[in-house]
Amino acid sequence: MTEQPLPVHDDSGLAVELIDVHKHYERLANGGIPSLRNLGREGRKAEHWVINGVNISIPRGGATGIVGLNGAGKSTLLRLMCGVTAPSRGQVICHYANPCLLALGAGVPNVLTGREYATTLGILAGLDKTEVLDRMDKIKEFSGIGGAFDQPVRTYSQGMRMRVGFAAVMHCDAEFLLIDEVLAVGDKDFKAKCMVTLQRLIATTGTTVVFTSHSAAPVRKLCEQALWIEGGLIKMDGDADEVMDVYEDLDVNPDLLVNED
Amino acid sequence: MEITRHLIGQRFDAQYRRASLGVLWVWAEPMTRLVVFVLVFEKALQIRPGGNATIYLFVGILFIRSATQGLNMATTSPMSNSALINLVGVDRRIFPVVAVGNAFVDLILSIPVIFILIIVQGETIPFHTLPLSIPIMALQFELLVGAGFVLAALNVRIRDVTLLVNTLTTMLFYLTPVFWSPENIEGTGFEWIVDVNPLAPLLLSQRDVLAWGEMPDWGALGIVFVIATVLLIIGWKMYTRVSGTMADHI
Repeated sequence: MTEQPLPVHDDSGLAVELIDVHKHYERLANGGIPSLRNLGREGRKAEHWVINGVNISIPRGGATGIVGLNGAGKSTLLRLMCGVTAPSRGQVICHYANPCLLALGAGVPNVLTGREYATTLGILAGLDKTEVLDRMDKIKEFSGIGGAFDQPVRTYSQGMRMRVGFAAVMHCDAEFLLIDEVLAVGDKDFKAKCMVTLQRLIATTGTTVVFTSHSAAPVRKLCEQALWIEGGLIKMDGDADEVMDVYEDLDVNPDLLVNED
Repeated sequence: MEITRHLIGQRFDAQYRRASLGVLWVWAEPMTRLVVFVLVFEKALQIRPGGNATIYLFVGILFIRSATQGLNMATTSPMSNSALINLVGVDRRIFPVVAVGNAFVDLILSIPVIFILIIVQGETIPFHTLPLSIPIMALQFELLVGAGFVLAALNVRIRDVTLLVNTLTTMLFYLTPVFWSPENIEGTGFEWIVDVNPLAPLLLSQRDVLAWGEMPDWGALGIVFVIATVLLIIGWKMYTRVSGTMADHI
């Protein structure tokens, strides 16, 4: 791992900008499979709006936490930031060439071995294949999954997938890391190891990290600033501790507790 | 570029390097087809395409196989790469290109077998026309990538396209001069099949330069070039339009 500051591609000082971004997904008839039937009028899409007009500027370097309930739009925000999907309205400007998204489930080609998966991730992070292969021993060691590293990813648990993904991007000079909940499936030790490595990366190489979470603790630990998303809108943003104080005080919806009496 | 190369190499490794017979499998499939074809078309049905029938059939099998494989894989390439598409904003336009590229890797690896076959059959390898095979292959690549972009773009929103293309490529095998030659269908009223199928002049030209040592039909190839370029421009535009929100549909 090189420990020098990353080259700056532009002088905006920003990692990513979202300007009045809206996003909807289509809900298709026919069980959601796009087919000829959906081109007709009645089978056509119901629009499901997930992001309803947000303006966000993420500064270069440092960590930003995004909190909110399930369905608030956290994952969609990350997907928009790294260009996995385009906004329905508004504009997303990403100032990094190779953003790295780590999300559960999506993005793991099952037929590959852990080693091949890590290689692909490294190349996507912007390295040459030989550079990734040079770092493979470190990646394998960091993942801590031992012999399973050369077995197909389809045999992995969620935790193991996350470990390989994390290990790869931690060692591939990723400039812009977007982490979607994945820390939640790691065990205590691995979580702690990731936190320490992330903190070191941010401090030494100026890596930009954006991550989503349900819980406030990792956000307080890692981030200077936080965004709280609700219903596809920004409910609150600013200093991480201040936002987390309000977020944690949020009462659990009393309707959900009725059955427990 | 690095990722394109990596993906082609990865698929090759996955398919062949892990198999115990390795790259021999690239040859096994067309060779077994060849044996069946010689039996069925040459011996049983007595179709005489002109020239050495075994070589005629083998060149036909290799090129049509690569074309249908490339088209089928390009059409489904957004789905088969959904893992990567959901991973990063990697340029999705590489996927149909990788699919056609995969089919070409198999094709190029099989070409030496043509020469072995020519020697075994007691014919001579036409060294003076061999280099012309490369631009004709490049033209086939352009045509398939262009068509691949169109089909993949449609397939993202209309999943029926996968099935349609499967059907079409099966038909294409019979409608391209693989086991028959244009002379065989003269006077049947179906001569136009050769004229409307851009794969026909490509295949006939490859036979000319790889096996017979003759000059290809440059006029026909010129028309294919125009068709391929138009397809590529249209396909590029269609595919670029759907690529932004592709991850939402696959």
